[in-house]
Amino acid sequence: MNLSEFFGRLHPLIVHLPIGFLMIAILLEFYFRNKMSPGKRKSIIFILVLGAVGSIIAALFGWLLAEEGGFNEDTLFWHRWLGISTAVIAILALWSKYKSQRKVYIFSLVALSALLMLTGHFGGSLTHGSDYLLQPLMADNSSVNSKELDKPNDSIVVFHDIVKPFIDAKCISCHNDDKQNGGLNLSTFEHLEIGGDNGKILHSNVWESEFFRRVTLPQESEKFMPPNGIPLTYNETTLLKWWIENGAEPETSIIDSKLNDAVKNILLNEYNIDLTPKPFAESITLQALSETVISNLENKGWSISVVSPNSNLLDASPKNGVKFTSEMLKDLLAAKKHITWLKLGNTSVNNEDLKRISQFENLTDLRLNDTKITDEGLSHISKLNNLEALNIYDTTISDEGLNAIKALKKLKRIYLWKTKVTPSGISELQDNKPKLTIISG
Amino acid sequence: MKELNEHLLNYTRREFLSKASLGLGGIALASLLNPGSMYGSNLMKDENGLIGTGKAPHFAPKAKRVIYLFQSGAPSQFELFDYKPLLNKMDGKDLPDSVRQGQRLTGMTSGQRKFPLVGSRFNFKQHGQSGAYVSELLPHIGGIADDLCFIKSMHTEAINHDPAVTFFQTGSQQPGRPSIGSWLSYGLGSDNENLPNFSVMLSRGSGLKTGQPLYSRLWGNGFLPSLHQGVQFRSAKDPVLYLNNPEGMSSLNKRNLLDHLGKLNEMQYEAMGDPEIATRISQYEMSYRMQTSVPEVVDLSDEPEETFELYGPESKIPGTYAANCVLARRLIEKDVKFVQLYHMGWDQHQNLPTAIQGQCRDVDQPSAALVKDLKRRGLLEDTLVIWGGEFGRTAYNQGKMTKETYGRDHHPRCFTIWMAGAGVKPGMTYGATDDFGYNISENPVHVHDFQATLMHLLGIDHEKLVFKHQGRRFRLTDVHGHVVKDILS
Repeated sequence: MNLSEFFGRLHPLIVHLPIGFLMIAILLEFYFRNKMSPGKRKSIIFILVLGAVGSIIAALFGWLLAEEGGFNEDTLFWHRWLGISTAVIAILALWSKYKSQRKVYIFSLVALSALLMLTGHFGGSLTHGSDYLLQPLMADNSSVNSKELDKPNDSIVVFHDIVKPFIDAKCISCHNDDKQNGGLNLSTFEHLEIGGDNGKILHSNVWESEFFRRVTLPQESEKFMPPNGIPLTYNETTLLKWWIENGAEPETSIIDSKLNDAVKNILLNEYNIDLTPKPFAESITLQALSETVISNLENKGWSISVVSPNSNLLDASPKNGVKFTSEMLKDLLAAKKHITWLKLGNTSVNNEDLKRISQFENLTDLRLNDTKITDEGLSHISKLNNLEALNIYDTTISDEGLNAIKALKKLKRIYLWKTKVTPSGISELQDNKPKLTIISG
Repeated sequence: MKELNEHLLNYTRREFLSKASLGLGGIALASLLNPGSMYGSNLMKDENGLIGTGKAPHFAPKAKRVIYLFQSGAPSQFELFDYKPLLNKMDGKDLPDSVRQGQRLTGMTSGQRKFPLVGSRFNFKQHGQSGAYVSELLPHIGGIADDLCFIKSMHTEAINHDPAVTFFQTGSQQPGRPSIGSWLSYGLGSDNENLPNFSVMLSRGSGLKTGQPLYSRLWGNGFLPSLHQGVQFRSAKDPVLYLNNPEGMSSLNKRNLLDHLGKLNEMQYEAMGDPEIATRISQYEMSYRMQTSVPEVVDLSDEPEETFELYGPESKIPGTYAANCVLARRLIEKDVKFVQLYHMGWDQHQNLPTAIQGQCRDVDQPSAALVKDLKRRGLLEDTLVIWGGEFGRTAYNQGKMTKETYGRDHHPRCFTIWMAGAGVKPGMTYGATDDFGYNISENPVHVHDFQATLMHLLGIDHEKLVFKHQGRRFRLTDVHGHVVKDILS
């Protein structure tokens, strides 16, 4: 049993009584200023007695509470001495009223009004944090979905942009520069790393990390954090766990962190951070092809469209009803850097044309299905370093032709139905490129 | 002419106050300089950079074409995809009130005194690496489970067929809005001007011969220019009605006729500026081109025997779901943007176990064959396939219930659909229902969310594809819809 701590903790309750008494005394004095009578004077004196006694008790209890520690020293100093001054001035006010020392009395009432406000403010700062009062007025609080970050993915720092905000929202009111319950300050990474009275709260093994343990305990537990207010959401604890598992680094950016599906989904849904890789077309910057070149190509029988408004790369195929010729492909060389999708399925494209196609360095999707191309012709396309999908179904391509495919580093999908490729050829290709999806019908 | 005048009056009433500061003279001048300005600015030029016909998509699309296999009548999720062993365990016991919590029922079962739960009479098995549950009724679809993305937490607002189908297709339960295919045609334009951008095919189910009727407004263009309306392909002699020349008219005659008619129409357009006239000119031209392209595409004689083996024996019978699936693939090969199949007869209020077997025989092999066929041809790369009905069916029995037979009523609160292809994660199951299959327990997907996701896959921001009509900007998703990002690959 610790009586002094018990009385200390009564301070926040008791302190409001003298505030009320003294305020009412001041107000009554003002209200009766021209029509004072002995009865009214007695009442004011009675209220002043209550106020003086109350402020002495409050100051006393406050002193006891301060013994517990964990408060910002500077703020505590001001609160303590202004509080004591309030008690002293309250006695002075009572004395001067009783003795009818009008000048002293008026001085002490004015002083009391100021002291009550100042002491109260410092007291509030001690319990709620120094920016508690003005925070709602600050500009950066106004956005509705404050979780959305307005910066590019590569400049999002996991600790600062993801973890820190929910620590600030849910932990910091008891663990800040002004008030450090359990000796723990969470206002900066450096403080967090130091830990609290019981040592470090981060551990390389997340399950031994006191920080993670405390916020994931059953809520009935005495040690659950935060003891009051809104607990961390499941998503927040998932993110915290992920951050600690990744070494609890203060500066690691989000694109350098290892991601799992759960975290990816949370980042996408709650923070609108889309970490799925961008399509190739949007990852490279290229000057737009001039309108005249495009309309010239269209006149020559090509159907040309932009693949995405965020890119200048193009999708090309012979217009419906236009018979493809090698001449057309020569024309298309005018756009060789811009073509990223090229559809030549079911055309007369031949080996010679493939030589030209190998100059289309930004090709990602090439369709040569249902054509007369051969293994020899296919060897030309091994230069297409950006190719992601290749469709050569219904051709005479055989196992030999697949050798050219092995050089295509970025290839993700290949369509081999109705070719002369054998099952052993397919399994050899698969061994060579384990991540390649082979669709053979 | 009368309609046109009405349109003008309409314009004056709605726009008068907002334009009043410029004075009527300004309006008159504007209409002289650009007749189209009288009709909102949808066709002429987009006013805020968001709207347009055939404009490039808003961002890089994953899918360029869609095949929507609509299972009209609402297939029961309990017999096909949503495995609920609890229903078998509690077969015949009443649905606990705590599950339904007074949610509304249709008029067909609201009078029932009891709501006995009924378990599926068909067995389930997990398929593929993804371990998706598919019932024994759909062995072929089970076989491609690793290519599919099942959404088990679909829910809708309507509880009866027509409003529900209309809601799915147009984003509104009330008729009159454009269908999904029309919106896509309007937003993305056509890749093949010889074929209708939005093609529709119907088939009757063998489970219930007298299925719910379907109306052409379901593939209607609503207030969009009529060139965006769906064109129905029929199995009869004329695959598209009124396409062939009347007897005795040569192709040359027809050409001459169209040339002169076109000139007359153009004169009228110059004078009136009604965008419907422009639409009409292009429709006449398209129908002329379709005279050769349509017979070519619907003629299956050049398909190898292997195709019919893949799609099943019915694929040789014109007008069946299987034959329509083959046709769908052929249209997609020709760059048609949106192919919509409707298969009727899923409405199994009674006699479900027998009827559903027939339906599944109709659709199982062809649906799976279509996905396989698109995949091996490399078309799944940029084609999205969707399979699903307008709502689900109840966990409890409707009508007579014996060991052999039972029925299920309409249930809008949860049902299963699947998607496959471009931009959708294969081998995935998204969302879940509770153990009774009555409510959604995880990741609900509303019809508007589905529509938003569909448009997202095609590179369209569903909030930006709008059309101004009667003073309001309309969109497919009305004022709702969230893209289901979790299923995007």
